[in-house]
Amino acid sequence: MLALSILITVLGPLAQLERLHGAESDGRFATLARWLHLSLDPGLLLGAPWTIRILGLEILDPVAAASLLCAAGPTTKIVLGALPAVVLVALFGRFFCGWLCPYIVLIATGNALRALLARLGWRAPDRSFSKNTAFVVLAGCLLLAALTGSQLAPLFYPPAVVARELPRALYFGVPTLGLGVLGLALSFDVLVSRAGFCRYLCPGGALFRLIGWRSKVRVLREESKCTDCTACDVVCNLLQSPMTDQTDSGCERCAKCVAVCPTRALTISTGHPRLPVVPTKTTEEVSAER
Amino acid sequence: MPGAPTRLIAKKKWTRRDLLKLAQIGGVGAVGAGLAFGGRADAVVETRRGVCRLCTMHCGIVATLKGGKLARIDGDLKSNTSGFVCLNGQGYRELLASRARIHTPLVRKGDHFEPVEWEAAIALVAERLLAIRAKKGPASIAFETGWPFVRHPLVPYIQRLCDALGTPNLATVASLCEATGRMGRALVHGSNYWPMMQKAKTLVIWGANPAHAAGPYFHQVVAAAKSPRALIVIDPVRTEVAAHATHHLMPRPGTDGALALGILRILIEEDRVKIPVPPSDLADLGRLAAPYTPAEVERLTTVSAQQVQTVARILSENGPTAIWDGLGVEHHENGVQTVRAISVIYSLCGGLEATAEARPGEIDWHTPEPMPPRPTIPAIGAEEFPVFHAFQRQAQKQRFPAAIEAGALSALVLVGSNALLTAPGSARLRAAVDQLDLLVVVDPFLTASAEQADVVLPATTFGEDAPLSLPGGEGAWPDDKLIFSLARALGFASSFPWQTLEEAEHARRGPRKSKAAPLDPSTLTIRSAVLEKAGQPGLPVWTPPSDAPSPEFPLILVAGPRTRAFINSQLREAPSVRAKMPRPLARLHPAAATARGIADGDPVIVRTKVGSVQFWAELSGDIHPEVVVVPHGWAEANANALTDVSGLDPISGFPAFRSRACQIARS
Amino acid sequence: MGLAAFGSLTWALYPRTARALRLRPPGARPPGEFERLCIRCFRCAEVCPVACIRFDTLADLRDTGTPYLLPKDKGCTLCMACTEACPTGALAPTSPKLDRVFVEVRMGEPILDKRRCLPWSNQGVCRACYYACPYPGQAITLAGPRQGPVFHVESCVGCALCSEACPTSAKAIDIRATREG
Repeated sequence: MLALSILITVLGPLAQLERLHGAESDGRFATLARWLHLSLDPGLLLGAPWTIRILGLEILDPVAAASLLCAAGPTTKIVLGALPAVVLVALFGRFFCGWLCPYIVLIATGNALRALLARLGWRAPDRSFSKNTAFVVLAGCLLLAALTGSQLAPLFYPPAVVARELPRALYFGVPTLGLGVLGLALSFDVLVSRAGFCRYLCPGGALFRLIGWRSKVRVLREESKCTDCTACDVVCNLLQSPMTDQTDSGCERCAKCVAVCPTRALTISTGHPRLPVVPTKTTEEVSAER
Repeated sequence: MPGAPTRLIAKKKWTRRDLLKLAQIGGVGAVGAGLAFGGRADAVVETRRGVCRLCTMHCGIVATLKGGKLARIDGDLKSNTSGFVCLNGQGYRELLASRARIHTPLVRKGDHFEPVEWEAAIALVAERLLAIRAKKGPASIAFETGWPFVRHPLVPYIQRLCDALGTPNLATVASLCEATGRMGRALVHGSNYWPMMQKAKTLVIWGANPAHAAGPYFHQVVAAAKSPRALIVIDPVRTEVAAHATHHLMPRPGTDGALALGILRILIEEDRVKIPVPPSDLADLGRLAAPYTPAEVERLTTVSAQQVQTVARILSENGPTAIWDGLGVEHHENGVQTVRAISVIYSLCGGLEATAEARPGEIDWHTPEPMPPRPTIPAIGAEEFPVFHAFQRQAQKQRFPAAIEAGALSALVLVGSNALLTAPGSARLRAAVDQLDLLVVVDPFLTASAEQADVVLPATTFGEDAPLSLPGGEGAWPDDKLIFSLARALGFASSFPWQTLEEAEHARRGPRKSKAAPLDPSTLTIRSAVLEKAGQPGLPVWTPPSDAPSPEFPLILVAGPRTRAFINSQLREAPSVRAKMPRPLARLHPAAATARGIADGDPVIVRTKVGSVQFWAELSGDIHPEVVVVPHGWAEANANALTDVSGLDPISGFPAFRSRACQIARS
Repeated sequence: MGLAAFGSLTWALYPRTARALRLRPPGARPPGEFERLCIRCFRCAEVCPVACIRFDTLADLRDTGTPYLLPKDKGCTLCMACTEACPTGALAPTSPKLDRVFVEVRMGEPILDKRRCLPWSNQGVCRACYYACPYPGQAITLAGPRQGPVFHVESCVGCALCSEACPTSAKAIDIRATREG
């Protein structure tokens, strides 16, 4: 799983280096590509990290599929291509955001920048907006697609931007304005709202929430081990509250909370949010013993 | 509050997500580094003028470099070739950057090659050549140059090296290209000459296809077809140039001499000779040509009697006439005599003085004094082909296989020659090469010949040398550096004190160019004493090809005409050129194909008495119904598996590439 | 404010009729339909062996991020890898066999500026377009005292190899995208 995700988010665009520069190969660049062991056959991997074809299997991003369905109507190609991802998201929820999206690096960067600014003395604001803002963005994209036939989502949805702009930059060796969209998103994260893009603006996030609404895979807390330290709540980017068993479709199953819990009270698994409680003494019993 | 409890309570644990983030950052960092250090910098644009040396047209080119790398090639409008560059010239860009280039000298160890430093490779070759010379004599060593060295100023220095070594055995492409024509014309008029097309009112293109063989001048040929001018094309195939002709004659391959004699007969008998000729010569010629009546010519050549008469009349009435004959006439057993007959026509119809330019002494062998003395040992083929040897002062490489088999040749250095593909009789040559003590191949690519070599020395391509100095060919050496270094390693430092060819030529002083001058028609020689002295007919007789069609091989094979894509065995590494001819095609007439159940695109086997090769059929009404045309230079479909060195021209030693009996069938 | 943004976006993105069409990769659906199906994934450019497909970010919002060709810069070698790589069918899969391509592909129409063409304007000798053309004798024939090109629109697939090959000093050939796609 990890190998695949590295493959998809990083090596996909880079894998085209060798062929992109083909007969007009720049010596040093081609050497770099070979050294990084990136001469992947396009038959193996194409289009990462969105709209991936891996070993012949088409995996269409659900955002692309939704946008297409609105702009152009259903075709076999679109429906079949969208199926794998939709099924996975329905089963596992918004896991793409937690594991595969190239924006993960930017969230971490944003958090690090916020921590740095805090250390330097300026506490960046963390405004909250309606949790449904992303749904409005999604609806807007889809409506525009339906009305005008234009595809707005690929212009700022991070996997699409990275998949297009990174190889494009490699191709033509020029700085790309497209990646600037991500820069804007990062600024929003730092200056307005922590992980704000993912929380409030990403149409992909909204769509995955919808598809993964009924996912049985969730963060589970073993109450006996939990010391209510709030570390998990603090570390979560997406406004979830594992400590109070309030995780909803917005949880990206990133397992940061699981990792940070000092008593290992959290896991990600199927099941009811609150695990069965092992009988312990009540506080009255404890004080009575003292 | 956010932040504090986490630090107090929870230690940072590295999760799989962190690893993923690191990988992403690493990847992006690598990309960034790649961009910073090696991304495309379109900033600097530069142009350099030079000359394309892929063929003998030497088209002027302008190379555009972006960021120090070759971006495009355009024709040079200010050059003799007025801005023309062909498909192959454009494909050169891909050769320059090709991954198939060799970057270090290679030395054979068993069945594979090992890379070796240049100094060590040169020293090894020198050591082995000297050892072979000591054991078997200097004449057991031969040097052979290929197509890139036609009229190349380095060849006299390779000759100098051979002279210093004491071997007479330098062979060039003159062993099978153009020399028959030069000799034939010189035997008739005392020197080689070239027709000036623009001066002619009637232009004859005989066995040549300027569309591919002389691309930059093709439009001049086409212009000759505009009335009142006439363009007569004589070719068994309706080529691009034939498509423009006012008259197109399609003789059986190898029967051009009979056609020429038929025309001569008409010129003489109908009193159409335009210049004064000694009566005895004219009588001899008349007797020779007498049997070649139009009806007989039609029987021998399939050209109609009507066409023979029409053409003879046009040549003599619509003058001045210029005749340009090419390899289509030379690649036959009777090549030299046929060229002579054509040259006599050129003279007798009065066109020579008005349209031909003499080109005396095209090979200037001079190198800086003092030049090493020429060896007195006869070169390979000199005794069998004395006239060829007198003209070319070279070995005739068609006799190399026999010499190797007889133990007379033990070391062969191929400089830009892919003989194992382009020499006739590949099977025999391939077997003979195994017997050599040393085979050295100098080439930018690992050609079919290089694969059999003991030592491979990677040379640069023309564009990497001055004046173009294009980036490419890392590790390869220019030919002059290579040859001069080898000469020094052989102990001839005093004869080769220069580092570059330019330096050497500067030391030589004096131009190499031969002066052009109008041709004096009184030099006409109909009965050649030179030939008679060599035991050959003095008159321009016609003999039918000895490999004549038979029931088993009823068709005639024409191997290796010039094609739009590729130049000999070159340019296979260029995808844009390959796209224009992805497969080797055997072209034949639909009637011949239908009779054999062959459809367009079918895989077919072409067979001669020598061997068989698979091609893909292309049906075309442009081909003479008795002819099969195949390309040469394909490693995967080697036309020279169908040819051999039987039936060589007795005067020049040229192989009969274009008149071999063959059969074709579906495979 | 959100409504205003939405409104202006709609205006910016609504398909307009009077503007120059982009030259699309081979197998492209007709204009309008193509922009609906293209998800700007760059896969066509990724597989292109000659790097002739380029993308654009800001020229015009309607087709921002869609692939196009610049004929005078680089032509299409008709390998059809892009049509095979397209995940949505914006580029319909097409066989790379030259006789199939001849029938199915019409990327655009050739336009020759004779004043710039070297043989036609008597500046030189060329035929680079003829040699580059995958259908010589059909899409391009030669004529005139310097054998200049004559284009036959009905036999041209619009690959722009001629345009690319045309010498820098001339650049006399352009390929105009057509409404039919």
